[in-house]
Amino acid sequence: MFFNFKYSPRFEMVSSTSPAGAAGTIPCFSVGGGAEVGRRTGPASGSRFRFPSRVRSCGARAIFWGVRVDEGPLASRCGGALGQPARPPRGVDGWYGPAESRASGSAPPLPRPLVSEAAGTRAEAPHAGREASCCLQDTMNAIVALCHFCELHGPRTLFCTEVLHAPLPQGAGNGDSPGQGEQAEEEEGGIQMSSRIRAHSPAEGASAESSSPGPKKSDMCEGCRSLAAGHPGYISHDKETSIKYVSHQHPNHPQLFSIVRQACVRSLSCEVCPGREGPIFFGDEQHGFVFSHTFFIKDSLARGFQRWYSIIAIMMDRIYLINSWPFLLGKIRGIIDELQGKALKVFEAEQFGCPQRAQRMNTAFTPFLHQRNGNAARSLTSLTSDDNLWACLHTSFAWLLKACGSRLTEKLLEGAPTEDTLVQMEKLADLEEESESWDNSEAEEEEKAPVLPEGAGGRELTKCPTESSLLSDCANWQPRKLSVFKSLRHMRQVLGAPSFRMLAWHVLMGNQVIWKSRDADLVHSAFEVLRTMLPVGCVRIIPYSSQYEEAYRCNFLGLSPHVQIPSHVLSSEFAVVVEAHTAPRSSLHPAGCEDDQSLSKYEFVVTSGSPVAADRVGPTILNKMEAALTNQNLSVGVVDQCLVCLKEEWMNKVKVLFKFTKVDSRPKEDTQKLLSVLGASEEDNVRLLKFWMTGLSKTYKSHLMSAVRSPTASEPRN
Amino acid sequence: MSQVLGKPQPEDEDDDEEDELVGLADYGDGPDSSDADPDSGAEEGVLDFSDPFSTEVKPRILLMGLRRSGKSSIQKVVFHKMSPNETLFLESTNKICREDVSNSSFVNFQIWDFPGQIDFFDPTFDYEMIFRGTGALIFVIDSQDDYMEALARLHLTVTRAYKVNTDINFEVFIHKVDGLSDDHKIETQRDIHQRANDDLADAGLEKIHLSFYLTSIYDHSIFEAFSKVVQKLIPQLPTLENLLNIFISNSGIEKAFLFDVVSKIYIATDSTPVDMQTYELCCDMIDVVIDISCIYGLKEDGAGTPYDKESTAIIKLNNTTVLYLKEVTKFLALVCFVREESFERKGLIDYNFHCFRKAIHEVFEVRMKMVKSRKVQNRLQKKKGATPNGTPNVLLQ
Ligand SMILES: Nc1nc2c(ncn2[C@@H]2O[C@H](COP(=O)(O)OP(=O)(O)OP(=O)(O)O)[C@@H](O)[C@H]2O)c(=O)[nH]1
Ligand SMILES: [Mg+2]
Repeated sequence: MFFNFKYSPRFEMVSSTSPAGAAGTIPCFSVGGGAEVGRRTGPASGSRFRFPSRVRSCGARAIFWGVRVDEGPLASRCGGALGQPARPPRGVDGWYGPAESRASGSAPPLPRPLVSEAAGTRAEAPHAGREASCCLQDTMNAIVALCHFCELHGPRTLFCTEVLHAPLPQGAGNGDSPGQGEQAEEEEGGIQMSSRIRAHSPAEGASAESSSPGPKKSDMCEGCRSLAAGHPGYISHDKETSIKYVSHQHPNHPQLFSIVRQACVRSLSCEVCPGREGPIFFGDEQHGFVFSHTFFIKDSLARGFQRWYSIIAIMMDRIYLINSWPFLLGKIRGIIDELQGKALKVFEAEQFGCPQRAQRMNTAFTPFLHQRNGNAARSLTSLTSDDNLWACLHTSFAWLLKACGSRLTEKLLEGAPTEDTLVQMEKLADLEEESESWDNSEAEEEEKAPVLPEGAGGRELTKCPTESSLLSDCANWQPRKLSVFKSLRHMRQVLGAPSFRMLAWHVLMGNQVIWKSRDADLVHSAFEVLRTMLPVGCVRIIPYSSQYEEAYRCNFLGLSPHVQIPSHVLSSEFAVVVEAHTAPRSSLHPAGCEDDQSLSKYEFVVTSGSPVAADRVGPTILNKMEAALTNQNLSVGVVDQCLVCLKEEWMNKVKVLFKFTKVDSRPKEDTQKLLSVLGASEEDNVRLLKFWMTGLSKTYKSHLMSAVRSPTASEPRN
Repeated sequence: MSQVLGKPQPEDEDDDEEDELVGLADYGDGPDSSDADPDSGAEEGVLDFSDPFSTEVKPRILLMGLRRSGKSSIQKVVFHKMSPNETLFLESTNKICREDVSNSSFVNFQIWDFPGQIDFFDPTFDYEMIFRGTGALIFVIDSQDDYMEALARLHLTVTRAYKVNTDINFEVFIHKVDGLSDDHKIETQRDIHQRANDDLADAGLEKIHLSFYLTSIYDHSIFEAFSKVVQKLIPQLPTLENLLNIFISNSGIEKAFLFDVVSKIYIATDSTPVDMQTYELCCDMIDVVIDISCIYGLKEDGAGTPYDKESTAIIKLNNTTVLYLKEVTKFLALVCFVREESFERKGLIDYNFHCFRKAIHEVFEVRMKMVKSRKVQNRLQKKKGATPNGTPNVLLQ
């Protein structure tokens, strides 16, 4: 997991173990599939299109499991494949019109059917434009289509499969309510389009027909038609997700029609693929992003003995599409190979029977034999001599849509996780069983804190207050009383620069920091502020104790004033003591604003066994932190971020050093060289690095260890 | 050009002149320079037909027309030496095929072969961009088919294009006439001419001039027609014609063509009328010369070019006519028809040819200077990242 994070600003893709994704093969073409449905199968409105369960990684078992069965009668195979028997649809009397000519009843009819529409719509019908963009961006996520460059008619969409979500999501309706019929249909789980058909009056359908976006019948030849004129199309139900996969010659919704049409024209007649056959990517926000794979199909009667096709996948989400590229390429390539293989067989058989080259040469000069409309374009079905072609394509495309949709899930991340995040996550995991009460009950924690028994286990010692969010490390601790420290800058003001510097130095070095005060809240706030200087993993706090605790148990220790601190500690250079006495005078720090008034009743004395020499350079990070704190142009928020960055910078050095010394066990001289490369060869910096090394996440450490032991080892689990 | 063509002069004077030919060394005139720097010669010898003062956009010749009218065939036969029979197996064109005719040939322009099925007046396509840089629009009509639809398309195309760019030459190829009888050809041409111009008149656009050609890839008519299309795009054409006129009248030559050797397009001829047979003979002669020198003229390892400044050929026909071919530039050849009795004074012809050749070089020298200075400009422009032909919608092959 750790190295799985893509440094994408938005989200990452994680492969799921969904069976659909893992299935890995395209259903065979020899299998019939796709139960035929009633004529009125088109989506009633654009807002129903949605890519299947993209966020739910493995919600849906592949419903097409059975598709790969090769034997058995067609009907049962269909049933097995799709979970839907190909039973005759009901309510025949309610049907009307051929499937191709359906247009949505809700969207305004658009007079001009072709590519122009997408551009034109915005101006002509702003309402429709808005609706389209909403339906595409929010819900419609993918369409797969087969396109053909017809010798007579140019680029044409032959067959396309859409994802249809049902029932209609709440609030998405645009005057086209699915009604209860839809509900009933879902309950029965069958393929009954009848209920939906009743929801629309035939009259409505008739008017829709006139505005159908599809090309006129007269403009169609065998070559650019897939389903016969009266064919209702194919539909597959995914019961688990109540998603339907619907296949037609053209999408019925005018906006989708024009998007597919545009993608088809671009894929076949505009975009250049080196080598002509192959995958390309193009698109834009408005018309969607397109994966297109062009290919030839052999045809002995075609002018160049081959015809030009493409399979396109259109999505509105560019990143998703690009991430799906290898998957789509592999599967679509598989579909294409199958088609080409079949067509080649047909072609070779035909050439054997009647060599076209010679025949054409012979008839070349017979006038009027080669008229423009002379050659009847042939359908793909006849080119591959596969009567089940469209049903098979439907299953393949639907499978593709489903598998592609459940392959990847996206996770919201605000950039790469910091080391702190990881440590916190680990701690969270350790504390999982009792973590519920911790989530945001700061009060509870505070109640607990002062009464910590002597034998407080390591668990409590290293407990991280989870109120600071996992994603942002800046302390968002809210003061409820006035006598508290609010930020490092505040503390620096209160203590004065020299004292603060000494204190900070000890904090960064990992020395024990002891605060003595009657006011536990004050101590608590001081620790909350000081801890932001250190990586989370380096912080061990005992907020308030009635007896001294050893340095190995905590580096932040709060004590009540009367507690005796052992003398060796007091004289040690590895400890610093801050005493908060009640100040005799009312205002020690006149510079402070009114906020400080409550603190002004205290006088702070910072002492250590070995005071830091004033001319000592100190760790680099300390100087940088001080610079940030003194720079009044930086707001508190900026300073916080600055600290996060500085810590991350030095944590990275720690990681390098860790790998170098602990994992690779390199000799001293090398380490010295490395340190100078890192800009950390001074004694203070080295000490700091060594201390911080204790704060590395287990994940990281074990990853490095295992990576060394076996270079091919997979990433450690989180 | 100031050189007066006239009587033969002593050889030594000729040599002296050779030395005075300052600035012509670029063209491989000197014995050394030709081999020394063939590439620069090749590059510089390219003639750019665009207006010298306009930006560096090669003039486009568009091939438009309905599907299967023969556009791709024309392009392949004229510029790729494809045999006409092979065109039977050409695929239908699915996207605009753009081809530069400059590296291989003296002429320098782009040919855009359009797919017949796609409506480029659809708003998705930027047809204004297509027509803006266009020098000539060739509309191909299949004469063996019913041409009513083609005429409607012709009308639409011409009027739209004219609105964008009034400088386009509109050329209508009445194509595949090999399938028509002679009477039928004339009748078809008359009919198409009539209808097309009537349509324009009805639209109030009489000022648009359409030129009509009867063409077929199975004979030389397509080369002839293409020659005329290209000639109209050559700004130096009157000068070249004039030079040829002076040359033939002083040398007793019947007819002379200046040929682009690679495409067999003639870029200029004298002002006497061209008849088809003469033109075909010239084409055939070029083929013979190139074929022979390909077979016998190249070195063992295939090095060398079949056409260089030594290239020359004389073919005597049995009707007292002599065909005489001589190299003019790397890409151009002069082919003359001479009566046998005139050809007896070959010295005179050669001398005059020498003058003519020099004059031609001078004509194009002006051009080269323009091209050179423009190249410098272009380089500067390119640095700025200018894309002169950027088209958002139509991507070309
Ligand atoms: N008889 C005859 N046939 C020709 C001639 N020129 C082209 N053809 C034939 O016309 C057919 C179509 O030629 P193409 O050049 O591919 O047509 P196109 O105009 O490019 O067609 P699209 O690319 O579909 O727009 C081929 O079979 C050629 O052999 C001609 O001059 N005479
Ligand atoms: Mg073509």
